[in-house]
Amino acid sequence: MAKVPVPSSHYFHDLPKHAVAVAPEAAVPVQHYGRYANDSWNLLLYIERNLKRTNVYQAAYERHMHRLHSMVLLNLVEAFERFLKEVASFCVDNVASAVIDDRLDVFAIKGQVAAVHFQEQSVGKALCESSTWLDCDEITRRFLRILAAPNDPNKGSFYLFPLSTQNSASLRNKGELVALLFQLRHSIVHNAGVITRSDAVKLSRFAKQQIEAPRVFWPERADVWYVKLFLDDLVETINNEIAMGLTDLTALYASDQSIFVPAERSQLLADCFQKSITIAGTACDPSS
Amino acid sequence: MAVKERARYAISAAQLGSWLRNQGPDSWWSVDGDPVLTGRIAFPAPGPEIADVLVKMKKRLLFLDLEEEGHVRRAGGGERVLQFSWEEYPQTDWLLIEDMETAENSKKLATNHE
Repeated sequence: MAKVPVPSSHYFHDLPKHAVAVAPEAAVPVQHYGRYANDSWNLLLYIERNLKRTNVYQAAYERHMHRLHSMVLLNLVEAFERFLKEVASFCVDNVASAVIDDRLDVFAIKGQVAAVHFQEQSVGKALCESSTWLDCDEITRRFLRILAAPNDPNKGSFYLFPLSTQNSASLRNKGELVALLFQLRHSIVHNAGVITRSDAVKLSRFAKQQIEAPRVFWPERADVWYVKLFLDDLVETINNEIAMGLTDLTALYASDQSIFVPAERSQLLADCFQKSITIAGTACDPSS
Repeated sequence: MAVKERARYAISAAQLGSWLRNQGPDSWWSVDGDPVLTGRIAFPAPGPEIADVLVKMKKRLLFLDLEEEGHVRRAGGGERVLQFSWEEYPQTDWLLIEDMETAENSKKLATNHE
């Protein structure tokens, strides 16, 4: 039998066009996260629900379901990274026109990267979308600078993943767990799920126990749910904390109407964070 | 076939909330395909938690009229599946699905925390 030919290059050139419209929730980071995380969870339920109707080879079923658990867990972590990126981008866009200090230097971006983001007309997207958001220390450093009060000698006081003595209290002790999830993501994405010896060294630190290697990451259904519970709760907390931090910072500039109109800016923040926001006495609720 | 093209009931979101509350605090549910609820609730969620959101919504639902008992379909594992669309978005169907395994896991989680 003749060997099936490899598809021509035209097929691959068209591949990026096989796409659908971004969900309307993408304009609101917390809702975008919710939609993607729930869709990922529903993929698992859908497969489970429909396979239960058929006769399956149990060993093959379990093997495939474990692989699916890995994929869904990965999607949840990716949704979380995307959430951080979208919120940071919104914060940058809101402070960029007001501040004149060096806070945006926290992003290292090259000219070519800026050029490809030029059509976005968003300095936030240009600075935030080109970077990865998978290092808790780096993420904390970025938000610290973006949300710093002007002329703060400490260059900021908002710690997204704070140490035990730093604010905010509601986000303490989360950083190590997020770092652990980011490390598992690394194993799934870069090593096809294999926990290498170098992965295990880092995982052992975050997990505070010895992790063996080499092993294949093989999560159970409950593991996926526990990760979702943790990230859902963390996203809500981060959304609330950043909303407060950005509102406080924005309020410092409310007297200068050449920068923004308080009523418009309150509405913008309320819509983004899906919370009631008050700036310079103007309170706004989310539009929808 | 879409809910709008089949025999259906129109009910209020609050009525669905009331039904979910009646299923008890130990029944867990997921919603598949509805951006309205998935933007407000982290699923899977217990029935009463979803009910709290639904009773505040001034929306109406189209609910598929099935011949099965209570108009509820049972999937392969015995979990209940209900098909809806919002009256204002009849082109988008979505499912409310019972999640029995998460209900079991939530009991284990609660026991481990005691």
